[in-house]
Amino acid sequence: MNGPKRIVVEYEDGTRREAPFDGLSGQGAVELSALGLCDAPPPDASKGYLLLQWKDGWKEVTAVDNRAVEVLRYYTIERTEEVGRLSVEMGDAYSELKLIKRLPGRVESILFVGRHGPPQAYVLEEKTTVREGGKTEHIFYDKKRPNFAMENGSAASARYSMILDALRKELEKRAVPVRSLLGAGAGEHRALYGELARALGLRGTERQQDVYGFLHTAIEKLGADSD
Amino acid sequence: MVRELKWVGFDFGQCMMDPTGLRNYLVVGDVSKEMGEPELVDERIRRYRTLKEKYGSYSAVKEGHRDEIMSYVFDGKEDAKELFSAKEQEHLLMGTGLEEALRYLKDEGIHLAVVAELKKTLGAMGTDIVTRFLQTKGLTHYFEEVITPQGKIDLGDGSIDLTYKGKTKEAGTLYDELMKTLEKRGISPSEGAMVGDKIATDIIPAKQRGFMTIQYTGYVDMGTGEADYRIDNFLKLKEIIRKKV
Repeated sequence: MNGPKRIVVEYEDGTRREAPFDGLSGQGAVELSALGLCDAPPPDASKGYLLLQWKDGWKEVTAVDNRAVEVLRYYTIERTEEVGRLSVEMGDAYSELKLIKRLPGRVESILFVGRHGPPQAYVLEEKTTVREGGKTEHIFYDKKRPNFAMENGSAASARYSMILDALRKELEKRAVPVRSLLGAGAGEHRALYGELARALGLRGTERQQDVYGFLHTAIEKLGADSD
Repeated sequence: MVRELKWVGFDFGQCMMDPTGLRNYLVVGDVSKEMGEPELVDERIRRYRTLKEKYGSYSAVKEGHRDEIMSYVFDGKEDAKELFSAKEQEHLLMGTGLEEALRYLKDEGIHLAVVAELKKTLGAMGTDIVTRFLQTKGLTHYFEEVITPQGKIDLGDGSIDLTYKGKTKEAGTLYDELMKTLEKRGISPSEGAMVGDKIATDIIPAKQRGFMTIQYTGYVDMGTGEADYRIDNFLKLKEIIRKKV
């Protein structure tokens, strides 16, 4: 058997970093196999397995740790869950859909800083309720409905300027020139970007990298404005 | 019928303190995001739910196994400890009508105390979940003391009376000690009431000792028991209690 032993990452300058293949998670191994770099992980007979059978004949299998000895309990939870669905227009491509789980009914506004055009701002206010069977949709913004509109351009720019001003002050406090950050990636200044994020109260919805990307975009804007 | 009383004790968890707002995505999610680790939110919520399965309820986890929340859920990261407590307090709610009822009772001149089954050793005011809740919600001035199996905290000067140490509501020993305290103030059990949601700890042992008992069902209803009254809103206390002169 010719099993994989090490993962090797080669960089642009020719340097390499290596790690044992065993350190990869199962999901990581699956993703590498999808790239054709290794075989799919073999069936794992060392685990325990649960076979769930539904009244309609559906069956599913899920693995459990090999130390499992018996089922502790099974119960269902019935409660109204509120989830925000935020979709973003992508031109010709499919819309991008984000699920907002943190207090979705209390999101107040959205500022969109895209790669094309000026910033856009949306003040969220529930104006329409749609009931469909057991589901209720509370509509806070919908481009396709006539009673909703984004904020005007100057209001959106003012919102973004407030963030840029706050960022500029934080950089000045730390005596970090904007120029010193341009050209470098957020990864090279990870600690500084972390500090800036905390100072500005910015948190990632799903990925911390998104916060750093947002900050880097803002730093680029500060750099462009100072030219 | 209105009862004339001099002292009222309130249970804390699921009674004065309503944990409805404590959704895992808010508390565990916010802590992870504050720590710059939003990628770990779902896995940490799964681990937190696993702890709940192990110990039966979130309050059991939080009261008796808080160290495991930090070690198992948050990978032993030090900064999670303070953040978790802060977020927990931020999202805790007050029981329905609580503050108005407390204002009424205080204005009537009735002595008020929190009687809680706190398991964690007491420290300075604001370091345990009960006094922290009172401080955060601005309720401290309504109460004279917090009575727990870890000791009785005097909310006036923050001192701790350790004669209550090791005594519990369920065994009734905490109420026995409370009766001694009240007796010194000239208050008999029939002039006092206990408000709480748990029949085994708030109602039965208090009633056995002669206290009036009021079962609060606003968050959890554990069924009809031996309580003298059942209320789902603290404002109803205004219809039940007035000051005994």
